[in-house]
Amino acid sequence: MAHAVVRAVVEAVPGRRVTAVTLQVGVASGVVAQALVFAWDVAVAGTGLEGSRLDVVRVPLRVTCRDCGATTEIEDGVHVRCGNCTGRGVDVVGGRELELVSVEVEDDANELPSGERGRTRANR
Amino acid sequence: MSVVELRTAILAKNDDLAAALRADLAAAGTVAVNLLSSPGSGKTALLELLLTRCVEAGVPVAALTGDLATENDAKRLARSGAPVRQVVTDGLCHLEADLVRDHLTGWLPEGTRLLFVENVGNLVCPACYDLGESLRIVLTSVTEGEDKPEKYPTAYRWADLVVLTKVDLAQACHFDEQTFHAALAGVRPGAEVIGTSARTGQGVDPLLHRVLRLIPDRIIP
Repeated sequence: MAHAVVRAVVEAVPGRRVTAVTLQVGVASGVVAQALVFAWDVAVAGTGLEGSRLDVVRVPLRVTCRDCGATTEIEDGVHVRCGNCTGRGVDVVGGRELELVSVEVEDDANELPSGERGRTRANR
Repeated sequence: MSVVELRTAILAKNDDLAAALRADLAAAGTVAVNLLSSPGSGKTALLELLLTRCVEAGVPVAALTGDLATENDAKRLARSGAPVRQVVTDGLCHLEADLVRDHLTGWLPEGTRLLFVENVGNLVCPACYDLGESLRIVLTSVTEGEDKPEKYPTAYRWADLVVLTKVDLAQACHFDEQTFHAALAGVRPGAEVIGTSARTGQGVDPLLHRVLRLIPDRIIP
């Protein structure tokens, strides 16, 4: 999955030096944020994202109740029921996101020669 | 330093490929069923039985089966007489839409009405990938415990149908079906469940009928 994120970034800003990536991860997306962060340094190696930081924004599970119409957040991210009337007849309306929000890129004038690219911004 | 706003869905490419594949299959009169479960839940045994029943009933059926390594499952499934192709993922823990398309192109027999895609045994990553299926089945064996849906909520949340397997072992495993249903209802209210045993054949006909309902009437042989 980390490779898929890197690929999406490279396609979005081809040829740019990327210093930070902000990713939205829904709790019901099936993706574990910690695992992505762990794999990040390996996935970015040898790409324009080498040394970049990965910022993950967690998106809670949200449901809309078919009975009372309220949209509420599911705090434990597991058990779905309406937070307003506790009804079970709910539709999941959020929490499946896996979305690239933004990237921070170096301005072209500041691009470092490839030999000087450090890993100083690595997420540790 | 500047910030570029993107708003790009990471799996957009897979989702687009899956939607195109679903449309192409529909145009060819084929519906696909994606089978998800943890390793060892009995996907292959149940699928072998389903394929055999389809072949006996004259339903043009085919199957793709994914594994990290070996062609063992394809060999097992081929005993049914249905066309079967192995997808060896070389370590990839799930199937993706382009992998499915690559293996179908030039192989899927013309006139196939029902295509089973047996995913890699894994309840985590396969849940994220649409494969162009019309029905997603999550299988759970009674040997895995009643709280599986709560441990892997994402897989169950996007399931169209949940199939219990190895129900002939339920008593020996002290599997309490009510507890399982309660756990499932917590993460996927209203989920449809069919209990099966590939050993005794229990529940196989109801499951087969449920799957065959996907095929438009006009093309049922």
